[in-house]
Amino acid sequence: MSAKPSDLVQGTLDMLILKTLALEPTHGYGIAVRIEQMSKGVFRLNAGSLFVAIQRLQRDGPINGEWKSSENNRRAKYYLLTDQGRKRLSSEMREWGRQVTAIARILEAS
Amino acid sequence: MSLLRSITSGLRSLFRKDQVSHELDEELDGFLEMAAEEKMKQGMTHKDALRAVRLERGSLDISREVIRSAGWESFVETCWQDLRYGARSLAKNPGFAAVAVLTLALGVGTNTIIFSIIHAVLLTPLPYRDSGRLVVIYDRETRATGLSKLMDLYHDFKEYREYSRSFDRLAGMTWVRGNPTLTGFGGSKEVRQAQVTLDFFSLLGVSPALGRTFAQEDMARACTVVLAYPFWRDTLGGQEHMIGGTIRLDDQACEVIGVMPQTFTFFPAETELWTLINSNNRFERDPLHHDLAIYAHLKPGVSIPAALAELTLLHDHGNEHQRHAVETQPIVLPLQEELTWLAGANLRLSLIVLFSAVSALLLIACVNVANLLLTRSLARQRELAIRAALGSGTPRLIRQLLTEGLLLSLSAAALGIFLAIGVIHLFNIAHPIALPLGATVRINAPVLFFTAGLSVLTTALFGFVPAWKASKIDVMEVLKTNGQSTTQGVGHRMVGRTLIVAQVTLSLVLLTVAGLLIESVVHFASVPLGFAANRVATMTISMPPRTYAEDVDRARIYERIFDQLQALPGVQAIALSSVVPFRPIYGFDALEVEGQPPRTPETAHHDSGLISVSPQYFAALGISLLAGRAFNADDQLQTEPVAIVNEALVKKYFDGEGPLGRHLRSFGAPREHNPWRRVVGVVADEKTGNPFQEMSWLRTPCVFLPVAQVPPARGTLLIRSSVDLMSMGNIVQSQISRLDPRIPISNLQNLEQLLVKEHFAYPRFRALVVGCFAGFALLLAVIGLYGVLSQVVAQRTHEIGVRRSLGAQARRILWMVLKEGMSLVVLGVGLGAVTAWFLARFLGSLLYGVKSNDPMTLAAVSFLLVVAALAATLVPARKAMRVDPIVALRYE
Repeated sequence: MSAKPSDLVQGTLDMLILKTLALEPTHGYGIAVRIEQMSKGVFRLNAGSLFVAIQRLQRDGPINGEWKSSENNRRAKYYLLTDQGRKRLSSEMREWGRQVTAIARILEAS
Repeated sequence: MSLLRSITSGLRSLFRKDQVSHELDEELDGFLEMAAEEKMKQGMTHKDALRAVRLERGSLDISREVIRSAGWESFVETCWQDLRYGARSLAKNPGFAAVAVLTLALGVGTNTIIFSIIHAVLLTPLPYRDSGRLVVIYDRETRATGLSKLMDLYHDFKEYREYSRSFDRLAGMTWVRGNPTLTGFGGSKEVRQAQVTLDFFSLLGVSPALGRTFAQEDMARACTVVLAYPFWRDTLGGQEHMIGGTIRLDDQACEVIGVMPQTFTFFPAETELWTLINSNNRFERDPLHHDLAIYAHLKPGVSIPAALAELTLLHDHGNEHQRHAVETQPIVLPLQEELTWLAGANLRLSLIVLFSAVSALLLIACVNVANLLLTRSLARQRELAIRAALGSGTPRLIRQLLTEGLLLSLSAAALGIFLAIGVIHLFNIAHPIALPLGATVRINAPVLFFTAGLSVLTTALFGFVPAWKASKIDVMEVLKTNGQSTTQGVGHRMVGRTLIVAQVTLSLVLLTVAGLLIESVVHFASVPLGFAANRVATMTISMPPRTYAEDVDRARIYERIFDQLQALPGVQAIALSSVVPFRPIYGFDALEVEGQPPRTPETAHHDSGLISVSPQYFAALGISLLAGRAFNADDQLQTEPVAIVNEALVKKYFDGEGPLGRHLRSFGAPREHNPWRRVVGVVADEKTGNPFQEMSWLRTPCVFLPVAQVPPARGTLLIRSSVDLMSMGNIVQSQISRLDPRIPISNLQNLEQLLVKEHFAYPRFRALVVGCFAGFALLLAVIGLYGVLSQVVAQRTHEIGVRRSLGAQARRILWMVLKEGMSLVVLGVGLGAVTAWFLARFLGSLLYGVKSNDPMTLAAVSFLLVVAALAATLVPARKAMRVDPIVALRYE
């Protein structure tokens, strides 16, 4: 944790949550930790914004939540990707790829 | 799918609030604990770990609130909070709430009432199949009397039915060809029949309740009838096995083939049975001298003008040799419009005027409540400022205020609907005016929808200004002055004043309209009619056609009836006329005068009425004899044919020369029934109604013929009596039954009441209702003015105290307040006068004897308004005058 965690690029949190859950269903804390690990500590999620996003995704349909007991016998709400979520993730990733390439092209054009 | 999930999950949060919030807590706690455990693995104490997590991940309490307010259900929840808060704050000030709700309820209630009538009369489609495409076809007279709706010749009906391509179906119907006498159900009774063509019921697409309607097979049968439900139930006993049986009409056996449903109604509403114009009917035998109204169903996509163009061609082509060809043209009207018109020529316009009046009333009510709210928001400035200081944004404050407004207007709507239900109940019982057929006024879904929409609209109207003012609150300023603001912004007072001016303007317009309508009614009622209707009973008498086929038989029985009835106690005069007095006389007859050039079909004007009357007719109705003599017992069938004419006829046919001794006869009638008649008398005109315009009297040229020489088959008995008129019916019937039990009398009416019902009911109702609305408007405006001025005086108590202590005279203070109030009133009256002058012209045919820009009316209502406003101003002004400077200044 050397560098100060940076803010997420606007609108990418949903995609990151979906990606995390595509690997394996997990609970809220699990999502936060995994995003932090995978980004090598660049993204640290605030609990408020994380849970607002989770609730929104749950309502819109890409993820489903169910209560289970966790590895150390604690009851936790596990989230998993629905079919709709899988579709949404792939379309968002495609779009993201397009945007990144485009931005990179602009930046390299100097 | 996702919408559904959002709704179900939102509803779950709303209704299972505890569980949802508990789950959220558990989830967040779990998050915290897991994160803390991670830290503790690195050697932190539990307490330090929790602290570190909070630092890193943000406060979980704030997160909780953010998560909770993210869904739509939180909006509902805050609305609910606002509502409860609003209800509490209104309950704290019950006087204000009561006045506001009552004011709005008055506005919303009256609107609901008028709209329910409009909905029933103008907006509900007629209860017939594809009623939007149903039309009625009449003839329009192109010269002479200018009557614009005549029945069509049966000949034309057949032409149209054969050759027209514009219609799916055509049917004819007439109700003016006399009524048959029913025998066998407790005496002789005249029944009101409508004669219809084969397709009449299939055109309307209404199936009978019992049996069937007319079919092809009936065309060859002598007499088949379809019964109206009430007639079948009440007069015939309402037995189902009556279908297929017979009833006797005019001594003829008629088979009953069907009974229409109870809900079925068509013009005229009193119709008791329908008979078929069959192959062996008078219509078929002489199609050029029988007429009927034609109803038709337009083919899809055919417009009324297109249909009219086609009919005009057919009409001109089929009538080359007829009076109809040169004097008439067909007209086509939507059936709904026609039935509305039949119920009241000005019903549509009246309803529009009434609706405008209640809209104005509602506006005034809104302005009043806006003013009240404005006053209140001033008192609540501190509360609002505190809320703003605690973090409520402007939109949030406005939302709170509008929610309170909505609470007011929804309560008002509920109250208004109760008011409307009550009034409509009374309306349906009292029947103050005739409504079109099948139009039942009631509060139904569309009316409720209208009322709901209206309350939202009113909230926006009265809630907007106060909410907007409140949103511009200067928090620092308000909190600094400790809420005891003694002066208010100039802008604030300007709004209140503008509202007062608007109220006065609207009230003046309403008062002017009411004034004009009331004046019209007074003028209309005071026109001399040329006859006296009081204490006269009228009833219809019909002669069974078989027994009394010959003139001589009818003349004789009439004479015996007169003798019999004359002897009754209390009877002052008895007369017979072939028409009902003051009912429109359709001038269908053309006249020839001896010594004037003979008429041809091209020069004949069908403009006069021929009326058979008995000798006492003029005396019984108090009609003045201007020259010559009335009819007497010497005018008999065998004696010289005589006639009496009225002034209008003298003017039209004799150029004012003396008509006495001259001869005239009807043009175009068969020779043997139409001898030259010597004019023996001239009478004053009696006014008759104009069938095409409400509140209008006509003077139709009339030729009166002695009943003894031209005895009608059906007539109106007029009995002037000193005893109770409505008891005359049975007495007269029993006297006549003694002479011949087969002669029925019907339609017993008090002539004066009939006159009121047919000619004065609508204008009076309209004037009364608009007058009430204008009264409410005046009351609201005066209350509004009083409220604003009282508030102004209360707020300026300190200032007035200073002025007084500096030596201002009490009278000056009084004048100051009066000037403030009355300047607004005068401005409002000025604006109102201009608006009223502009709008009143649309009243047009609702006015009688008064111009829409009548200056006297305007002056009178302005005076009334100014006096009322002055009274309202004086109260706060006198209060201001009595301000004690010591007391006022001590408050500082």
